[in-house]
Amino acid sequence: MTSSTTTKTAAAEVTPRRRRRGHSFTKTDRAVLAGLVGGPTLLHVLLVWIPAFCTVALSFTYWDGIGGLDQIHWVGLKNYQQIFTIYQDFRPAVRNNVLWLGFFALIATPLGVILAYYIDKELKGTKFFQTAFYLPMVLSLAVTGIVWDYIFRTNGFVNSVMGDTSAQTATSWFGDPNKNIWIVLLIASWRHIGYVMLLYLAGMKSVDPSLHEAAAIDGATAWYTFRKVIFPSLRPVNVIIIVITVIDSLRAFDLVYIINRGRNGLQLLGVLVYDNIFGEATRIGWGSALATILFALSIVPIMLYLYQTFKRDN
Amino acid sequence: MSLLSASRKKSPKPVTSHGAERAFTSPISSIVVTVIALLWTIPTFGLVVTSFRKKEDILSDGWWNAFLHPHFTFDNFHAVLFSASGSIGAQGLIPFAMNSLAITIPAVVLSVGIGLMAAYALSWIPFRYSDHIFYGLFALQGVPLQLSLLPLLTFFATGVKLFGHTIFPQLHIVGTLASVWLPHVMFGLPLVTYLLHNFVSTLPREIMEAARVDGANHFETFRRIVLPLSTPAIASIAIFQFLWIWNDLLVALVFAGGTDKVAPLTLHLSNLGGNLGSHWENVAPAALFSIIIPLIVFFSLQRYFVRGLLAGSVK
Repeated sequence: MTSSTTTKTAAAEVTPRRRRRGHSFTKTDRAVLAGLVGGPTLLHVLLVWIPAFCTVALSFTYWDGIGGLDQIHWVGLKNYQQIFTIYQDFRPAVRNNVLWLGFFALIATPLGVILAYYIDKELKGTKFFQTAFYLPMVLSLAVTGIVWDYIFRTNGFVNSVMGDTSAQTATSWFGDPNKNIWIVLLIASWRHIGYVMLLYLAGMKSVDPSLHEAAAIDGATAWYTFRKVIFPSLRPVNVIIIVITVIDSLRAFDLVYIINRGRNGLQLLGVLVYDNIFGEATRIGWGSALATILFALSIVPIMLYLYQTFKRDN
Repeated sequence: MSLLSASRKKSPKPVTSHGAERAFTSPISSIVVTVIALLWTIPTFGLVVTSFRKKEDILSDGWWNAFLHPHFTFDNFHAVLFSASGSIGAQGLIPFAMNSLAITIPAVVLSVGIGLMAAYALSWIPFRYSDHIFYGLFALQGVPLQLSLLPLLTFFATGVKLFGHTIFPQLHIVGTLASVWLPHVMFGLPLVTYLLHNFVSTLPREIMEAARVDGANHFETFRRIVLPLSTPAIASIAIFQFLWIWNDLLVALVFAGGTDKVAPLTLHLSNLGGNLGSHWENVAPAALFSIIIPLIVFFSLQRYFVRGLLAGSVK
């Protein structure tokens, strides 16, 4: 159940979302609309879209952030060219972001869905399971980093169980650039699975129970019922889960920042953006170019979804 | 908490009668899920145990040894909350917790309030572009926070002038709490509106029209019908927002990074993480303290959470 098949199934189940509504459109309506929708939209454009546009524009410039705006030099595509050719952290960051997305989409999210389905069917009323899986979601990633540090530090729980905690010979889970990204993915999934479970359990509560019964009477297996009945009827939940999965994995920042400031095998695009713009170097043009690349990556899945929806609606 | 409920985990399974359900029931999968759930709680359990250990014990070995020589104490909490010990800061953690609250509460109230009103207008006042705006809202989740941070910070600091006209006034809010919660409101609005729209648009049409026939204006309809009927959705989305904002690190780093005066708990904790060497014994109790409020919020309102978040969105 990759995210792409999820999208397909989800889009295949579009129901007409809104019906035509009868009442007339008055002057008051117009004023209310302007206030309630126009106001926030305007603020949003001003505080999110215009800054975002500025960042895209800055990505074609050189600016060290010191001195006024007149210190900005236009450099064309040079930032992008350099990022793709000589910026050593860029490749590992893209690789880690893709790895993160793949791990979430192929392992963590499906696991959350399966656990939710299982708990919904079998373990109703046992608060223990829900508490156990929801707890990580309540913790900030700052706390999450601290909590897992006790487990994976050189003299931590895992190494103690394995019997070697010496600084020289024991496995350094966070320090080894070939291993640490997997540990981070494990930690991130610890949190993500609870998230997906919560959303899915909430969704399944609202599925009409007669659907279950009808499937059961027809002799459908649990897996078949899930695939053909439950999953398609949960389209809105699936959409939210896809969005959260994609966004969380492309913009991951907190966890690696807590662990080692996103260095030495834990580079991520989000951290590189932060480091370049707000870090000591303040290469603002460069950082903006990275932010623009991040934007391009995260908008693709969302646009694909919208495109499919529109194609179906028309 | 998980320990307390652990004793109840062996409650009898619901008797299942359907063939489909029986196919899924097996002792092995029950055991697997139970084991996973237990593994899931180990890291947090370790944090709890560590916070209550004596300073010397924390510094000498890991929490899993705590049961070999059990000496538990509240001293660590006293240290991080009330004393000016080392890296914790002059007045302990309380001021940072206050900052977290002062950032989170206005951001949640405003984003959910504005989002609900927008959701109402989008769902119940028909106009030509409502679908476009709705899909636009959805697409807005595609704008990464990182894309807007620097210009927004600059806007706050200097305002925006174009050809001599002030487009955006200099707000004088840099280094204040408002500069931290305002971005949270703006970045949270699209998803909040999207989720609330799912709910509000499925309110029974008959009620809305009856109100209209009775001469209720938009304000009255909103206050007397939409607001009370949407309580579960509002509660659950508010919890979601609360957790996101309370747990945020990036916005805090950028907009409150300069000064302890407005730094929330997460930011302070991440700085503590950097000073682990010096006051290692303070980290666990500080972390445990920082999750108390979100834990209370989440588990006391969890009922709403499950009912309200997606209510109306699944047909």
